[in-house]
Amino acid sequence: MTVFAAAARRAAWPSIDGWTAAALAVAALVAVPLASIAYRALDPSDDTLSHLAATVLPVYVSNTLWLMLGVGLGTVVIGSSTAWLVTMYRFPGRRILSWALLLPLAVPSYVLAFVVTDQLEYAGPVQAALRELFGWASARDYRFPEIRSLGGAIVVLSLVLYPYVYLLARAAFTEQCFCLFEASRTLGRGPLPSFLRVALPMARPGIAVGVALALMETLNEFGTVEFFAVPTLTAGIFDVWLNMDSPAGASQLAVALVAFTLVLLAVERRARHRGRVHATTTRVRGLPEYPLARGAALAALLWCALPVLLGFVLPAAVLAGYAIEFHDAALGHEYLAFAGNSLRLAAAAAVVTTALGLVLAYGVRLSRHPGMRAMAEAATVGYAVPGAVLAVGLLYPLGALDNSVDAVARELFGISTGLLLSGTIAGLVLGYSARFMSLSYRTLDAGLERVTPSIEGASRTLGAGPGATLRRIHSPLIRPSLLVAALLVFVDTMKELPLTLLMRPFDFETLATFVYQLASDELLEECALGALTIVAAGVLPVAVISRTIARSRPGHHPG
Amino acid sequence: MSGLAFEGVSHRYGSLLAVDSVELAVRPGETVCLLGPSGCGKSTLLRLAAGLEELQTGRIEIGGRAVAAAGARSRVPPEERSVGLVFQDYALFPHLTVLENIRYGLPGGRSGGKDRARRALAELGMSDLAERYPHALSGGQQQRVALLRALVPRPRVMLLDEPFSTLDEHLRHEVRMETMNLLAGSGAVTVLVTHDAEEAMLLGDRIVVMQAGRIVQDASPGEVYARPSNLFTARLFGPLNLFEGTVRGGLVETPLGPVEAVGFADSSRVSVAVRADGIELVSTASVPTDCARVRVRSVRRLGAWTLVLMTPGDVTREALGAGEALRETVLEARVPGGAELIAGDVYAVRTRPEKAFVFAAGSG
Repeated sequence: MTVFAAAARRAAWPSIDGWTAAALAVAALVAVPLASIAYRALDPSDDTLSHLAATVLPVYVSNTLWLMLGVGLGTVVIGSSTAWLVTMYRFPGRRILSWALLLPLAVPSYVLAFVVTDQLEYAGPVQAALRELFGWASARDYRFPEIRSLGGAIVVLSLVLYPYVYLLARAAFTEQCFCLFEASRTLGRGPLPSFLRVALPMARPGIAVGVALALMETLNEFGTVEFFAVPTLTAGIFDVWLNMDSPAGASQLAVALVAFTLVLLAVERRARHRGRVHATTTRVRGLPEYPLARGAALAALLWCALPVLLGFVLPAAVLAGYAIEFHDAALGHEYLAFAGNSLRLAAAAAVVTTALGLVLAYGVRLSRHPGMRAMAEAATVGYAVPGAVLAVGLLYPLGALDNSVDAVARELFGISTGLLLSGTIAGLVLGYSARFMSLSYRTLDAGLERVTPSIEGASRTLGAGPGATLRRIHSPLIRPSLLVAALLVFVDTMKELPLTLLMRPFDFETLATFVYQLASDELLEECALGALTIVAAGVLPVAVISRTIARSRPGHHPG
Repeated sequence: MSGLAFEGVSHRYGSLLAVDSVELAVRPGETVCLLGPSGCGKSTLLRLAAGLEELQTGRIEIGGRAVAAAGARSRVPPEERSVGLVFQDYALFPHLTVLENIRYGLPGGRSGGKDRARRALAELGMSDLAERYPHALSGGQQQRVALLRALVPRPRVMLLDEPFSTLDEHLRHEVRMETMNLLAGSGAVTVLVTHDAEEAMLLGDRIVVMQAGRIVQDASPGEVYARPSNLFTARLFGPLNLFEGTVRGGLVETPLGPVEAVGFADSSRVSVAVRADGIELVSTASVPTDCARVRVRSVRRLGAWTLVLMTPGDVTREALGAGEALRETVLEARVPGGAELIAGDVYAVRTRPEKAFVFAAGSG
């Protein structure tokens, strides 16, 4: 019985072991602020919610629903169609577009909103040119669509959020076996029906994850909807919080918002579970890259270039123009110091959040307990909680933790530890981790799902334990997913506004906080250099990572 | 018992009972083939033995020690069971070279086990493939690498899950023989899962037939072929001619003549199965007139064998027994030679007793 007895002395497998415990701890990091919010929302001494329900709540909810519907459709259409074109076909500009299509990810939605408004308002260049052209004298002579509207918000958000769908759809198309698509072609279906009936359904898990991410970002959106005066639930939370001075009411709205996300998560998870497909072969073939005829090639080029032009080139060009024209005013601010702050923060958040997300995703996979997965899912709703609400959810537990650590240290060693987490960089990184855990966990979970159970079983029966298997098999195989996870967290941390505003140390400025403050005072020209820097910082990792993804297909010779 | 043992093992996937009260023991050096159609639970048994599936009911021993027991708080994880598993899809690590794949299960870090892995490759004449990646190998090469990878760490138990099913016919035979030689030298407990009876006969010292999660027969290949325990098992070894009948005087009348029904009481209802290669056709001139007759419909040469399709015909009403319906029955025979048979002619027919089986009616 020695083998059995030895096993009994070690932690049981696969019930509670080190991995499960670590995953539970990571999940708790995200669950604690949510519990704190829920606790405050249930405060019975506050009847703000009934007042809200009778007045503005229906408006908040309907605006939120329309925004989600519009952005969901917009991102799926743009993201999956462009991903398919650049993966499957050869046309001029394809190589550049395959990474350029990620560029709008670097543009914060509020920056695009400021730029678009700047260009389309009455005094802006577009309307001025139209008046010049047709000889109109004033606004009474013509009708011009109002960009600061629900429709405008849908367009702006779709243009900056479609890269989530593009990124995951492209990864899914790249990793699926093209023999299936070719089988469909030989069975008499043309390229388009084959795409719709074979390739697209097989890529559904990836696309669903991409849309879920884009819609969570939409639910969180504050800058654009505030500036466009589209009162969504999130905008409502800020209104109730700051103008009605009711944290409990804001928490109640936050709970409603979390409910939206849970529905979204449930629908997406179901779709993903049903469409669960493992690669049926380990033999990976090169991509076909069908050449396109001249007309079709031009159409493909235009279709793929348009989102890049509107979502990236336009704002970058306008900001660059202002940055050059107003460089004295821009340099007058300490933007170099702010840029350094932003980069360091984003890098730290990317490393920490990716590592924690991997622990969570792998722990869930190892335990195979349905409860674990449900808990990990619950833990990832941090992404859907508006940054400001999450910040407050964290401030109370962190403060309590600091006070108790301080008390213990005084008791035992007679020294005061002061505030370790509250209002410090460490606390801020923890906040980013809680907020972006979903990005990291879901990307890595989708990556792990593509490692077939038999590959994992082969490693285990050959004597590698869970840790060694993660290091030797999963990590190299899911390297694209690890890089994608780190990239998503990095770029989002650069852009993240409300959480940074509330959790940063006193007098600590990042580019995002600086740009938002100036731009909302209609000083876009003066903060253009800062905004451009956020965009540029986002561009670098986009380019690097896009290349790595293309190189690191499974089975591809390294180097 | 120092090999591999399953004791009262059952396993459910949701409401589906995939493995049902299995008792099975395999000695070191012995090769057991689990034979059955897909979904009969044979692969689940392998996964349970390897520790990839959590045991729900019963107990599994390897080398005389329990590695999993229902109700026990813990079990031995797969990496500590000394089990080699060859997967149906091979599960080669796509990011590692052939050499790195084979070295994977050997101790010793970055350079450990290189010599052993190289020697193993050399023995199969595959040294030049060492630095290739799995996607650059043919199916047969992938299978050999998967086998070597599992064998090189010298596991006490070798498990093979349909290891030849993705290979084409002529390659399959070659790889099977090679695998047999490698396994014979290893001294390990070997359990091979297959749905191919011929493969089971070729590779197994013992054949364990599984049906819907249960073991229905556990015997030597000769025994399973000669004395199948039920219709299901009999059917695994090639086409059968099936009849229903009633025992009279120790015999069952069939369109192929009387068949002995040993151990059945008079007037009990039985099923009779006659293997296609258990039928002899002879000229009507050389046998008594009351012998069963058939009309040959088609004759197809298959090399050493000839496939003959026929209908019961020119037999007496009494011998026909079951009546008019049987006239439309198509019977199948595989006879050696057969060059002299002519389609459309009537022949006398005889059943070889060792290829005709009688089971209680409705027994599977």
